[in-house]
Amino acid sequence: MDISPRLVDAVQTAQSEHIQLRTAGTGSKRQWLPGSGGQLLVTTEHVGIVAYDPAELVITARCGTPVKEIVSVLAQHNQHLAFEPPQFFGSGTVGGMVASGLSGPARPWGGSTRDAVLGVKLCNGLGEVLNFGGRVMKNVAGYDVSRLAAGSWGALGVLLEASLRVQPMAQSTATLSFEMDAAAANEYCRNLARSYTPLNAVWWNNNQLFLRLSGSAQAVEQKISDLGGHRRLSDQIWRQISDHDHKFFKATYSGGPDRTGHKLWRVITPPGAPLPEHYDVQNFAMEWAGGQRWWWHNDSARVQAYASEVGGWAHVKGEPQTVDETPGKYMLAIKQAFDPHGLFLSPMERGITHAD
Amino acid sequence: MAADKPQAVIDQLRTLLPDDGLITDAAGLKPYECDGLTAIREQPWVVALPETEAQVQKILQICHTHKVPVVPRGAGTGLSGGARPMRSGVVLGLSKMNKILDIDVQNCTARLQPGVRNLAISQAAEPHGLYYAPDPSSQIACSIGGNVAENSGGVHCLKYGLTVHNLRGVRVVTIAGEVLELGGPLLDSPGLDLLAVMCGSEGMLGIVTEVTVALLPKPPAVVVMLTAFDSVNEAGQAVADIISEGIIPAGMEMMDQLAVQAAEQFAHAGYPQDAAAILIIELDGAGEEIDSLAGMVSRIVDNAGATSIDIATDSSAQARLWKGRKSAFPAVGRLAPDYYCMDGTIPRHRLSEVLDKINQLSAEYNLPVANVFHAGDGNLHPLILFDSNVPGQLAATEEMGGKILELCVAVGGTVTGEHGVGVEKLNQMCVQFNSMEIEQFQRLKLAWDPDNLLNPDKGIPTLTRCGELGGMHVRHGELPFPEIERF
Ligand SMILES: Cc1cc2nc3c(=O)[nH]c(=O)nc-3n(C[C@H](O)[C@H](O)[C@H](O)COP(=O)(O)OP(=O)(O)OC[C@H]3O[C@@H](n4cnc5c(N)ncnc54)[C@H](O)[C@@H]3O)c2cc1C
Repeated sequence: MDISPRLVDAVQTAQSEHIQLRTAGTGSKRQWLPGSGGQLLVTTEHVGIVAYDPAELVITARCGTPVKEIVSVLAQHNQHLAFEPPQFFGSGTVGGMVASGLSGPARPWGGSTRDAVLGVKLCNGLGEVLNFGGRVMKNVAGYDVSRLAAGSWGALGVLLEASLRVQPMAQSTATLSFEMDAAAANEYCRNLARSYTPLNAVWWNNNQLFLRLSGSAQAVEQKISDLGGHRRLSDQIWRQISDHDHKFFKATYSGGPDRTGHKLWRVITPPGAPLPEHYDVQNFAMEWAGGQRWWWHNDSARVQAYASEVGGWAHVKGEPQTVDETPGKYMLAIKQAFDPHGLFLSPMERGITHAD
Repeated sequence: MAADKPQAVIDQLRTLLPDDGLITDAAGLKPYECDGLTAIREQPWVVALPETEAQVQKILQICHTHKVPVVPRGAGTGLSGGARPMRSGVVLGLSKMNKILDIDVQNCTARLQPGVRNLAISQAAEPHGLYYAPDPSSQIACSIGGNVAENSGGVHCLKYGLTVHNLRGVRVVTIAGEVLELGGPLLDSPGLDLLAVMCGSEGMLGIVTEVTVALLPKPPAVVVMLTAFDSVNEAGQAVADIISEGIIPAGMEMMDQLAVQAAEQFAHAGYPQDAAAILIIELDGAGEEIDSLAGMVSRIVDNAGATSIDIATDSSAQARLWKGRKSAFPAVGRLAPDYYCMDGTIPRHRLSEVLDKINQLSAEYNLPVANVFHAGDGNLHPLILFDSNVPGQLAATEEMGGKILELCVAVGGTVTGEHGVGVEKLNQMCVQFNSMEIEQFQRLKLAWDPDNLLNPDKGIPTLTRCGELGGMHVRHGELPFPEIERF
């Protein structure tokens, strides 16, 4: 159902009545980054796939459409979203998927959410409905607002519709596991990254390395025999990692370490960055061929120091990402350009360090 | 409003830059009069050629203080006039900042100054078995800074993505002289994705002073197929069938008969000159999968009605097949004194309809058109042949080109797939975007460059211009003329 008139009306009303809005879908990302304040503008009734032509590799859907629905419609044509969007609590909408810009385990090989965005229809803070990008693969007319909207957490406006590039599913997929410490796993992944490998996910935790191979049946089978390891019966683990259902992401689980006072840090590093000097193998994990690391820790300073030492950055799951003053100033200027009256409350903005 | 061509700017630039870093004499300025869109020329006031980011910062601060417009320039191969200079503006040329700073084998990235040539990246990565995937046909000449500014594509972008997909980080200097470090050898960055909006911003938001790109391992096996068809329609169907079967070739390029004939005479690539269309398909992968992949694609193109299929497995034969395609522009250029290259993207299933209409326009204007097509991703390059010495032909060509782009918009596509808007497609922007969208672009620009100094007359049209064209979409029945002409 198309409820865009209602959504646009809500924005226009908010503008005239000086109310702030917070856009939300199913609220599935609330553990990742909770919003607060403002009047809730819920998009979940704005549903429906507007266009999908498998041969064109593009799908267009309204923002409230469940990600699940997109995934299953694509699967009927042997296609998928290559960035493997997380679906926390098994739910999530297209709008939330694009606005959060979160990508799953396949990110280094399948690209990010932002990479797949081809176009958006958005209602800005003036209540204007605007179209950027489109349904074609290549489009450089005007600034790339569509990709800017990916990861904007609602700061620029209400995303009404998004067009996404889709990819054919691989013919064959296999999950392998190896007993390996983190240093060995890091080295192993470096070598794989430099050679042509049908690899498309990596997970290390607690001295176990998991790899997902994905490609033609011949290439995958050949690689399995080259690499050895233990072939898992199921590929289930990747869904669990993507959706943070894997026990590693839980504060407590039976037989797990004591995480009292710990927070879950996400550390973005150069993929080949060295490991921290001290870490607990149960509390540390690596993804994205080493480019995304997870660390349960009770000492923020230690984690921050490690991130900056290796040229990366870190934030706590559940808290905004900290942005330095200069880039922050330019981000706020863009926000202002889309939302001059500051109508949209975005949790992302809380992380921007203000000059004052 | 500041004085036109203030002497203080020259004086300050002279203290800042070495002698050969500042060009002010007519002969020296000559090569900077235009970019690859040679029909549109202007003599710049001065050309500044910095060697360091600190110099870029100072140049921008000087221009900012004196409110002098700045036109960034890489190698000047752009085809939309993005680097076309301004009579009272400074050209900021990045050609001296051309060092490869680091090939990082650990992280499979390269850190580059903006003036590094596209091809030089893959050459430097080659000893490590790595390469940089986006490969514009201009890759021997164009700069990575220009590629970022245009979000350039190449024949391998179907599988490996455009510049934006292979870009990991940039350093940018804003008009105020502030440095932004965006991304790095990293797979995510905090806050709004400024890297995404910098890519393709045509030098209007900031000067790119450093670029970090991803390097990929070279595929062990490559096959290039040359297939011929009796009609463009059948070739288009073959493209759709290949993709529907779940195959994304590394490259898939189509050329129509006129383009094939021109390329064949120029490059002797072995193209069948009687074919209505050819399709060049490159497949890559692991050694053990390539044969069956090639077999599948052969079967699909055969079913779609291919009249011949040639498979090149050794690299010299493959290079020969690609040479024809990569030299298509200069080859077509030999058929007439001038040619004009268009760059629309369309949904692929509208291809035959669009080509029919282009043929009608060609007959109507009496100007031949050769078509080169990034078939996999719908990016069409009609090349209009003309003679600028014949009075009225340039104007007729531009008018016809405009109609082709409007046609692309009408079928759900875009006026530019990879060459950018520059000065060339400002009018067509008024067709693709309505006044509110154009104003939104303008607000975005002014958020970073409030005085509108960075490449001020490019990329985004003024509403006045759109209004005069009458092409502006009308909102609530009113034509939105702004009181103040900001752009
Ligand atoms: C024969 C031929 C074939 C071509 N084939 C292709 C192709 O296959 N695919 C494709 O996409 N393009 C192609 N092009 C177009 C062109 O080569 C690309 O657009 C290229 O990226 C331009 O790079 P450049 O260094 O020459 O940039 P320039 O032409 O110098 O500048 C292009 C734009 O970028 C801006 N700019 C340049 N450097 C910077 C910087 N450091 N910071 C900020 N802004 C900057 C300029 O202001 C301008 O707006 C072709 C051109 C020719 C002549």
